Amino acid sequence: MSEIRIVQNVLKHNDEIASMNRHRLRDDGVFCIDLIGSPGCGKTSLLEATLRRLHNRINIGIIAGDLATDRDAQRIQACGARVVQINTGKGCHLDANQVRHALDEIDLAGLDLLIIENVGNLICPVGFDLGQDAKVGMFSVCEGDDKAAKHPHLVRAADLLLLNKIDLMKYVKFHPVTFREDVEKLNPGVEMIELSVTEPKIERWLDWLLSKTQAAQDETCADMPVPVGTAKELSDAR
Amino acid sequence: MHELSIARSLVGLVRESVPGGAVVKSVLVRVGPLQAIESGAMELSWCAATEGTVFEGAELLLTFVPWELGCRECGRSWSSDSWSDPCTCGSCRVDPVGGDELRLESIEVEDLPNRTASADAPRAVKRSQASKETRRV
Ligand SMILES: Nc1nc2c(ncn2[C@@H]2O[C@H](COP(=O)(O)OP(=O)(O)OP(=O)(O)O)[C@@H](O)[C@H]2O)c(=O)[nH]1
Ligand SMILES: [Mg+2]
Ligand SMILES: [Zn+2]
Repeated sequence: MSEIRIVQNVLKHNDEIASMNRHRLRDDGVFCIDLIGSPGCGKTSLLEATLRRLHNRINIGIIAGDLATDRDAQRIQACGARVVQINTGKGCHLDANQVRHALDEIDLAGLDLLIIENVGNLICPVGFDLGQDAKVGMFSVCEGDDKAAKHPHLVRAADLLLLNKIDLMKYVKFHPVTFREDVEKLNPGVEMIELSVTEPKIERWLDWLLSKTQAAQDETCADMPVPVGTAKELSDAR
Repeated sequence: MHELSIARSLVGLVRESVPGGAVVKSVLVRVGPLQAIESGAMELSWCAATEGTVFEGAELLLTFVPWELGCRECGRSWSSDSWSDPCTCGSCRVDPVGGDELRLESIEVEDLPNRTASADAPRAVKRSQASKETRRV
């Protein structure tokens, strides 16, 4: 019997494809988000509201991952965005290769922002890098204030956390302080935004999106001759 | 069930890492607590992913590593099954460190028997066979 020592990341292949995706997106100055949250926390509703507010200011593309049906894609399309649907079948998360194929169907040069709505699941999608610039973890108050503590993987991996449905806070037992304390322990200093998508109360989220999108464009523009207007239109939109 | 994707990825990695014709006895993987891997689900997934391949029957050995915690007040560090332990100094300002590893560490293979000429064939040839197989998957 002999032992072969290797020490390699098990998801190496996924990570390699993810980094290819990341390069493609960077080259075109597209800011990309992987939106992860439990089923029904309000991901598609948030995208709808975001598109309604921003679609005539910046160019937004959406990749919608779902186990089955194209209902989310239809809802998003109705708001005027380019959307590519990925049906994962039995797959409980998206992977970098699925996103790579979806990118082939999108005109990246014409985009400022790409949001990937991952399959509704707080656990499985977290470990799979897709090539995003930011992982956004989304919770809603109806799920309970212990969900950050019970899902440390998402909380720790997130660059931004959203807490949705705060309009329902008065009907459910949810202590914002408990939730915040767990978040702060797991991912010190991470930005957290409270939302009510249906009211709608999403200003801070929109500000965050616009500033990140702008920064991604500035970075690309720094390497290239400035395309007249783009950066300025964006700052006017703010 | 992200375990199934992980198992498939692992099979690909093992295939790349052993010389063609090697009989794999076991595969050792180190798992951090952030990976949220359930050992039963992982075992089933490994069986499904190796079924019908040359790795069918190989054993998957998981080493679950605990959380590494560090106290912000006194600087003590220790490991624990829970990320939310307070420190022995009484402080609750404790930071979890790392925890997201998912690493293939080693593969145990049976020594190749010297029965046939082909078993003695140079390694390079076997490697190229192995890589052809990888591409087919
Ligand atoms: N009260 C309230 N309801 C909301 C809010 N945001 C979303 N909802 C409702 O929550 C339900 C689920 O919303 P979706 O946007 O479909 O959730 P999702 O996260 O996309 O769900 P999946 O894609 O199936 O995982 C819908 O009935 C929404 O109207 C909110 O801020 N407040
Ligand atoms: Mg949805
Ligand atoms: Zn201490």
